[in-house]
Amino acid sequence: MKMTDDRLRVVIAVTEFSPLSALWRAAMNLLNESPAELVALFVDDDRWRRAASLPFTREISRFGGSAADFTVQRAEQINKEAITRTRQRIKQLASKADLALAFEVLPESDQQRVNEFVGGGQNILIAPSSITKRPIYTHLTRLDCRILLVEAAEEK
Amino acid sequence: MSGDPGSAFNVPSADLRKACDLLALEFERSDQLPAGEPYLGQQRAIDAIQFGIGMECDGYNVFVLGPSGSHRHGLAMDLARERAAEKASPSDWCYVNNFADSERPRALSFPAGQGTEYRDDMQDLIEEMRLAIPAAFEGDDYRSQLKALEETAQKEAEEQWKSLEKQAATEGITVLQTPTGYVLAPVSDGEVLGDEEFAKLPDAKRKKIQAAIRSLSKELQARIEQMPKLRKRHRERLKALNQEVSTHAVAVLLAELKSKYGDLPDVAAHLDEVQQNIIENARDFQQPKSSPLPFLSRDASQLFGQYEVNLVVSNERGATAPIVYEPNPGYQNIIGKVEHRAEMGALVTDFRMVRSGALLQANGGYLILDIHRVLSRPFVWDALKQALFAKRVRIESPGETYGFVSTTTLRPEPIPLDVKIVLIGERWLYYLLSIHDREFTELFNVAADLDDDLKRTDENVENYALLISSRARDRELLSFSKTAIQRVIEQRARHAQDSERLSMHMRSLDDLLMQADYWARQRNSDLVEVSDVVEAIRQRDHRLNRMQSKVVDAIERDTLLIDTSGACVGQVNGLSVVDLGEFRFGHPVRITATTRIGTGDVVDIEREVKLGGAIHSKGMMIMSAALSSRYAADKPLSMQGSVVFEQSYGGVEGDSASVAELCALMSSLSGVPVKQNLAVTGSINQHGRIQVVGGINEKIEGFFNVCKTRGLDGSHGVVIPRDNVKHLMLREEVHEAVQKDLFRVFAVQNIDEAVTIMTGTEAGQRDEDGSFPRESVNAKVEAQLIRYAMLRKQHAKTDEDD
Repeated sequence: MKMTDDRLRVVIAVTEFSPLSALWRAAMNLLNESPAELVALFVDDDRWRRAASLPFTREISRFGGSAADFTVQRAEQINKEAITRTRQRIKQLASKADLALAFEVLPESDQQRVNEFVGGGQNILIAPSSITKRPIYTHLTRLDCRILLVEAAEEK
Repeated sequence: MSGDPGSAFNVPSADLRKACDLLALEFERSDQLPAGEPYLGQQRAIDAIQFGIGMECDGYNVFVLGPSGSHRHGLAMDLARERAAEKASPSDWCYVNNFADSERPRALSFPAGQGTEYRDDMQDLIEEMRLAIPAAFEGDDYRSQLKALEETAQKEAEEQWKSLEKQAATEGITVLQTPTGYVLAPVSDGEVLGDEEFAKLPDAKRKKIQAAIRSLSKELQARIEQMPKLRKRHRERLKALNQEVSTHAVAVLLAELKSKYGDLPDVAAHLDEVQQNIIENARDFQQPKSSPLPFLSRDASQLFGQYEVNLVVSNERGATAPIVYEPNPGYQNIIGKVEHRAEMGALVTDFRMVRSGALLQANGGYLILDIHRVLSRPFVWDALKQALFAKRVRIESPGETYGFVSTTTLRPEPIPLDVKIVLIGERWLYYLLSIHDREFTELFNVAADLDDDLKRTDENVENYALLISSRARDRELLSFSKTAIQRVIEQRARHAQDSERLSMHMRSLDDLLMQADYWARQRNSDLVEVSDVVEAIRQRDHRLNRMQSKVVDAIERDTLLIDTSGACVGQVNGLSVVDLGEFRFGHPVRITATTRIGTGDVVDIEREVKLGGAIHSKGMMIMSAALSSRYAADKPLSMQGSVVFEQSYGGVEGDSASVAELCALMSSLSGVPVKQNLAVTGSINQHGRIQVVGGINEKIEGFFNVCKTRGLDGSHGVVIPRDNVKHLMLREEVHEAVQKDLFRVFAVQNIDEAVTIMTGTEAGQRDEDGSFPRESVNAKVEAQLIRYAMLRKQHAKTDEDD
């Protein structure tokens, strides 16, 4: 997706555990101040898939501490579910607010497309503070846009 | 025999109806008389009841025996009231929640009146707690402490992860989160290494990374296992905080109650349990957040309900022992019940829905019950006995007691029982229970047997007049004139069926007084006169005598064949009584006999067709034996006789027709006709002695009614046993007819006297030779029997020759 006009754009950057409600509230506050185009960007990192490609990787259950093989299929499955879940939730929020919302999934490694999507100028990127731990954050900071980090516990 | 053979047996008119004079009492109106003894003539029963309710030993419960309407309840109540006045008001009883086992509510005892206070105190406490507890949890102090606790818990958890992540990072490993867990993966320059990058690493490094991941995995697992402990520690801290806050809020409220009820250990223990429970569950009492399914959430009012007090027995402080009469002694009304309410389609209950029955309401006092109702209600008798034996009441459903239902319900703690039971019932029920129920005799040691009647002495008659006066006054009836009271007393003798007795059946007395009062008021009088009493009696008979008039009508129209003139061989007018409960009447019945040669049998046709009762059959057999002993003591009785009640299609019971039956047989044998203008009643023994029968007044009046319809001419009369004369209290109408020689009553002592009157022919006595006078009835009977014997002998010889 590319920018089609010069309108201000508010980009909500989400990851698999992002605090959507908090991000959404922040976006709504911005939109109340000045009208803008609202888009959501799911930053699809391939860390799960890469970790799963190693034969000795195990997934340790958070509920009992048991360990199981973490396969590529498992990584893809949970990644797909995370995208679906995030899309549904943010579309619901937009629907309730009667707003049109574009939802885009971009690999974290595809910096070119991320650049095009976020754009520059007065555009605003709203992201969870946890994104600072991700490699993409370094790249985002180099973009010509404002970044608004939202501090909230991740939804797990 | 010359002249009227019956004249010697005439009953003087004065003996037909014993008048009441009340000469010793000077009064004109009953309101001038002092109050009378309310339970006149019942001293035996009074002594028994007083003894029974005074005995404090086990098993000395009372059974008051007497017919319905004999004022059994009033007597039992009055005597119980007297005794109760000497006793203090018993304990109050409450059921409270058992916090250790809510299915077994605890019973608490209080001095009279304090149970109500405790219930109200606890209700006030609940109201105060309803505000105080949520307020304590909404205060700034609590909130800041709560926040601090939560921050501490979060910090501890984060610490666990941060240190692990830090340790992992030093070894080039990152911790990735998945929706259900964690994955440890090698990193380089912040990027997770895939299989290709990992393969490019030196062998030693790969091994080192794998070893580090294994080690970190174990550490990760250990920390995951540690998390529940951290959460538990947090909950414990939170609970301690909540308890501290609620303790502060509740202790102040409960301190006053603990002091007030400190001398009641069980109550003090309950208050301690309440405090402990509130403290432990304090967090639940905060104002609930709105729920999407409000009907499923428990609100605070339900939670506070467990501290309520269910007062099941309440007695007034300073009052006397309770007296309870339970008119509907069903199981639940006697034992109590556990109610249920429907909630979401299920039946639920708790200690607040336990209800006490009459046993607990009367605990410490007296419980009066009608035995026929107790016995007719399922499970009650057994439950009552169990409670008395165990000396405690356990409130449970009969289904549970007998194991019919197995659903979980409440089993309230039993309450000690100290009650005196007074059962009221008919005599036959008492005797039945005495014979068939051993437990009954163990539990009901005292029988209070009410007398049915009172000896008609001058003193008793005067006391009876006072009793009538009192009852009229108690019921706010008009005053009775002296003659009216005399007439009432005469009627009470008739009710007793004995001119020398007065009936003690109080309901029928009250009925007569009230009805006489009614007729007096109808004529706008302020005094009940004798005419009103007579009218009350007449009107009552008129209301009830439909069947009697049908019988008289049937006789008048010759549908029911009764002759009242002429004479007939083998046919006698007997007398029968129809008892309709509230009303009974007599009427004549034709008894016929036939005789022929035979082997000494007298056939009772009623018995043969199973219309005769046992006593009737017995009378017939006695009569048959009397016949044999009189005429065939030294030879075989060679006759066969048949006796029947003509046009009788219902059952025949009693032996009062045995004199009439023997008369009919003797007439048949002798060929001497029996006068049809006379009727006879009486039972007979084997020696021909005539004995008393019941319903003598109604029987005489029954024949009188028929004769009167056809026209009295002085020839009509009734033969009765001499021993029945003392029972005569005939209607004035009959009495007057006798005085005018229009009707006669004969009293006889043996069968010969009866036969003489009934046939107008001397029965005859054996002379020194043992022979009866010629032409006497007995001579003719004997001659006929000898003839039958000879004929039978001839027949026997002919049969042998053949």
